[in-house]
Amino acid sequence: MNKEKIFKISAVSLAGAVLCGALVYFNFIDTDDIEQKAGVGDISADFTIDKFTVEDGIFVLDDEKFTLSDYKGKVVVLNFWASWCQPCRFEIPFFNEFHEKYSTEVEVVIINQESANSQKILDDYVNNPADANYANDYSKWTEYSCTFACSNQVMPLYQVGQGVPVTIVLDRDGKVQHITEVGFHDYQSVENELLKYL
Amino acid sequence: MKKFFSKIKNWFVKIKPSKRKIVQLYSALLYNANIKGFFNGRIYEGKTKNMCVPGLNCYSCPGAVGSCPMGSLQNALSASGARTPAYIFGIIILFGLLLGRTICGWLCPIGLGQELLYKIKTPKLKKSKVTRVLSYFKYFVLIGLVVILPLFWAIPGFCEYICPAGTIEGGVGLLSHPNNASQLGNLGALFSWKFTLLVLIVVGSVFVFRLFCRFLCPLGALYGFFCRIALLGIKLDKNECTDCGLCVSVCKMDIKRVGDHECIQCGDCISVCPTKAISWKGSKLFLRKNNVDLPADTDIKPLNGMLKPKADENTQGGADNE
Repeated sequence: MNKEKIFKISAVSLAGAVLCGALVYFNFIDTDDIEQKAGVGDISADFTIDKFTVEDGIFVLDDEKFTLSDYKGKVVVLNFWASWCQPCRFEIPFFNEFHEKYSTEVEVVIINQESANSQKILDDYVNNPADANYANDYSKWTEYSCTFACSNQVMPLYQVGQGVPVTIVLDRDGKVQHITEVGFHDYQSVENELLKYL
Repeated sequence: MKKFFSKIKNWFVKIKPSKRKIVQLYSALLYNANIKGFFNGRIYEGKTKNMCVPGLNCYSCPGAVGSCPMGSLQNALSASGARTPAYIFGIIILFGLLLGRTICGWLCPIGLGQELLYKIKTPKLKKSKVTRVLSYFKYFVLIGLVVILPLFWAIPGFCEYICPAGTIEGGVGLLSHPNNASQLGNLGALFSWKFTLLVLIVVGSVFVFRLFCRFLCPLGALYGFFCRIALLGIKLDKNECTDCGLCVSVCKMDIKRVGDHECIQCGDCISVCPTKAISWKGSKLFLRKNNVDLPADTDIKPLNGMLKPKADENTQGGADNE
């Protein structure tokens, strides 16, 4: 066999091996493990993340962190958002309103999915809660009483859809009660969907 | 019985895909090796997603194991207030320097899709001066939707408004799974536009060779800048070339000269050159002189005589001289 044929056979074999390896790896070895995550009815893992408080309409990183287990006894609503997602920005004030109305029973935590540049993202949010396409009465709202946090480590704990905005309701014992579909909620939808878990 | 088997054998030899087609199919499968994604309706989010594939293949395809270079570029430019997107620039430059538009001809699933559609037997639109002019439109797509919109408005314009790969791989790919049925309610005018565009491109590709590649694809536009300096690709021996223009007339892309920025390095021109002036770069390393690969298609017949050179075709430029 001359050099050319050896080279051709080696190249084809290598290519075949790479393809077979990839097919085996992605389909049988690197499985999604979505069953490992907390779904409806499962106890949620505990987590501790940075939180921000609002002072004079400005977000300030709090010295204290947010720990989920501190809120046993209260229903915890986790709302996940990202700065580039307009429907997310638009629905945050509605979740804050829900928090204010039922604050004795529920703790709403608004979690930003981008772990970097959190301060910049929140400052930008205060000035631009939602763009003109989604303009509403809340467009210049800067009073928030719910908790704001930033972490990309929380959403992977749950069996959520791949996108934002998505919301998780945890009951007073930290068990997952409800996971919303990925998509926007107006205030009425927030109340309709979440009130029954209080 | 024997006749049947010999008929089968002849049929198989006739339909056997060319080397290039095999490589295209291979790469399309490799880019989308995460087949389980189609069965569970979820995008793969593992570590290999940090790497771009060379061709156009949507990040949001349930089968995709890598990122799309155009999607990554727009994403990086949208966030470039935070930091310079050196990584994605580097990867695209690396692909361009190594392969240039051989990616278009050999490693892009969307190019493959269009070529397969073109095989459907209908009348075909021949290339012309008009199509040559239209081929410059993709540069506007590149500058406007891939550079300006992300950089200044943080909008991934090409992904959002045009890309048919995204519509069919990401959009249809995800929406066709029952787990994602709730997302059907989120579809609006934008999806209607993109789906219409997809249908137009698919139907158009039956009649117009590589319609998307020639007129719309910003990635092809970008890789075209590397046509002279890419390590792999087609090269023209200017000493052997007689300016007969056969290569340009056989070529289905809007080239002015073999190996220019419109050339997708498919190699169809190699077998028609009467003086064997066209070959693969680096072919001296692997093939003996004048031993050039013939394509499996048998409807391209080399002419023994020479044609009158076309008046407006001048073969100039930086073709290699060995």
